[in-house]
Amino acid sequence: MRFIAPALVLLVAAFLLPLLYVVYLSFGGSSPSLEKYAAIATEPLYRQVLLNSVYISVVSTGLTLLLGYPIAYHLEAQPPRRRTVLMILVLMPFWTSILVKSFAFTVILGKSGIINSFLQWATGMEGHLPMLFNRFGVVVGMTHFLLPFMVFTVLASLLTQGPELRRAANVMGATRLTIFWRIIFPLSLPGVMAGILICMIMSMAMFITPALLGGRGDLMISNLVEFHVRDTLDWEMASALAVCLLAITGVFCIGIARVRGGQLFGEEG
Amino acid sequence: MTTTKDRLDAPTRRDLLRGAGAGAGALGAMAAGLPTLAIAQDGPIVWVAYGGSTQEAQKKTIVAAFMADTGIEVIPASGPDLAKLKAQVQTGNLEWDVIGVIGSQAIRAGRAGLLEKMDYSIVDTADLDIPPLEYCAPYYSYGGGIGYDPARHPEGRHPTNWQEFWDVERFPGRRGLRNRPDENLEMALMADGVAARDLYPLDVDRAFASLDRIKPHVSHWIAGTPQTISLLTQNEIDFVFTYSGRVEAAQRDGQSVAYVYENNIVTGAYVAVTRGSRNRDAAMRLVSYFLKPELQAAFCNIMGYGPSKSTARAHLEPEVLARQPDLQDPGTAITDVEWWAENGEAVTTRFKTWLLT
Repeated sequence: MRFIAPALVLLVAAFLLPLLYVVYLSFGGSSPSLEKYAAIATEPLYRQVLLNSVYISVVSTGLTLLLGYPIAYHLEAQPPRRRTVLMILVLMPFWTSILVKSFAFTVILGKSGIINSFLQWATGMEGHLPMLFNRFGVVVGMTHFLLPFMVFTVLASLLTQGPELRRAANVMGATRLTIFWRIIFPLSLPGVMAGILICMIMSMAMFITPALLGGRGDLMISNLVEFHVRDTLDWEMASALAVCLLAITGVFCIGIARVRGGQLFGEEG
Repeated sequence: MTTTKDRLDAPTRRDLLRGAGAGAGALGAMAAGLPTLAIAQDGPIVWVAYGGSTQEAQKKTIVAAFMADTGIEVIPASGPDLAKLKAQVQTGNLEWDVIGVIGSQAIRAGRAGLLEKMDYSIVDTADLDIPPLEYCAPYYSYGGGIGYDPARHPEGRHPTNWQEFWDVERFPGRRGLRNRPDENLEMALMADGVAARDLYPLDVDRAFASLDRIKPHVSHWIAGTPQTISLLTQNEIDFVFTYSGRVEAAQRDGQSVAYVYENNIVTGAYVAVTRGSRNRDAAMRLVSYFLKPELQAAFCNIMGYGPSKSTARAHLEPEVLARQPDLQDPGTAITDVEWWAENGEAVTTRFKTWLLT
């Protein structure tokens, strides 16, 4: 307790109190009312945008896991020195601002971008694949942004696995596939769950990527929070939306924690 | 590629708030935090604007003249985020004295108690083409209209007014509009036959009915102003709603873009004094310099915008004057910021819902 006290004080002062203030504001502040929540419940815009946010986040996180797990698995198998170099490569996207990255996707995914130009050249056909300013563009942009977070959380958990279990399984005649599915993957699940959690939390709160790479239907909840904070100066509404976002993310976190603590590891514990 | 400089060239709402707010804003706020400790009656004044070449030009002309005449120091900051102002006023930690603002937002901010009432005994409102407001004074205007690529759409092949912009049979091509109702409703009504001078109060239902007709032909609902130009040059769209200042800047960079100066929607840019400013009187005097005709002209000669005072036109260079949207032309619409302050939020919610479906 003595050791976590400074961190606790900091969290209470810099995180919990402002958060409570946001909750207070969302209920109308000094003149309490449920007006903002009623608006969120009745206005179709907010429901649609909340659904959008969940949908885009789930798809992006799923895709990030599919792409990130093999990378982490490959990194884990490398000798330390080589792994360090490769890890720097994974980190590279962090060196550029998300704004610049989003603009850069125009060059790759655009109508006269690299992919479409290549396809036109290869197939000799006139048309193009719409990959930008739609849901696809948002998912690509988000996945690209989330990937390092997934790779590093999964890698951290893979690296904690000792080689003994795998060796033992190997000696007992397990194939590489069996070793992966029966040993490596289940043991890496805490990392996978942590990765999913981080990616979900971050993608639910994303707003630059959908604004720059999305189409007219790809509005996310943070875009509306930003609108109310800066354009209408309606901070009560912005707070109410933020609280809804927090609630959804919170429910999701609890869900993941239950999966982790419950059935997945139930048989061993 | 879009540079920071041209991102900040024209004062167009969101992208400015966002762009300027992020990086430069943080630095500006940090730099601006120190001088407010000074208690002296006359300054230094912290003046926050949208940064980039626009603020640079204002600094060289209007602000420099004020400093030379009065001896009061003006410290520029960038990123006039109203959310930040609200936080400053609420916590009593005022960093800014004078702020460059969007008209409709200034009205809302004024009502929310974030701005001082304009002292029109200090600020001279004679000869203003754009009406002065309770909480802010207009000092220049910018026109929005149709942008296109003259290489792809030479004379006669591009729309020259909003009715033609809506006419997809005669002018086939992908349209680009902004992802917000501002200006869209005005052009939708003009496309539907409403005269530019009879727009307000906007007939919102009629505007949405008109927007329904163009919706299938709009390939991009654009979030940031720089994209209005970049999408055009990348051949993602054919005709776009954009601003004359942006097109002229792109032309100076040698890009193949052109602009229709007729049937424009002209919006005022305003300057205001923050509520509780310790340098209120000096700040009002600085505002009065923003409204001096010859200083406005000097600023507009650099940036190509339109001065808010008709008497400033006499000081404009001929080539700048030639590119001004004519405020007296019956085809020119002037944004009624009061209408937007009143209805903006409800209309925006309706517009965003309409976009999603």
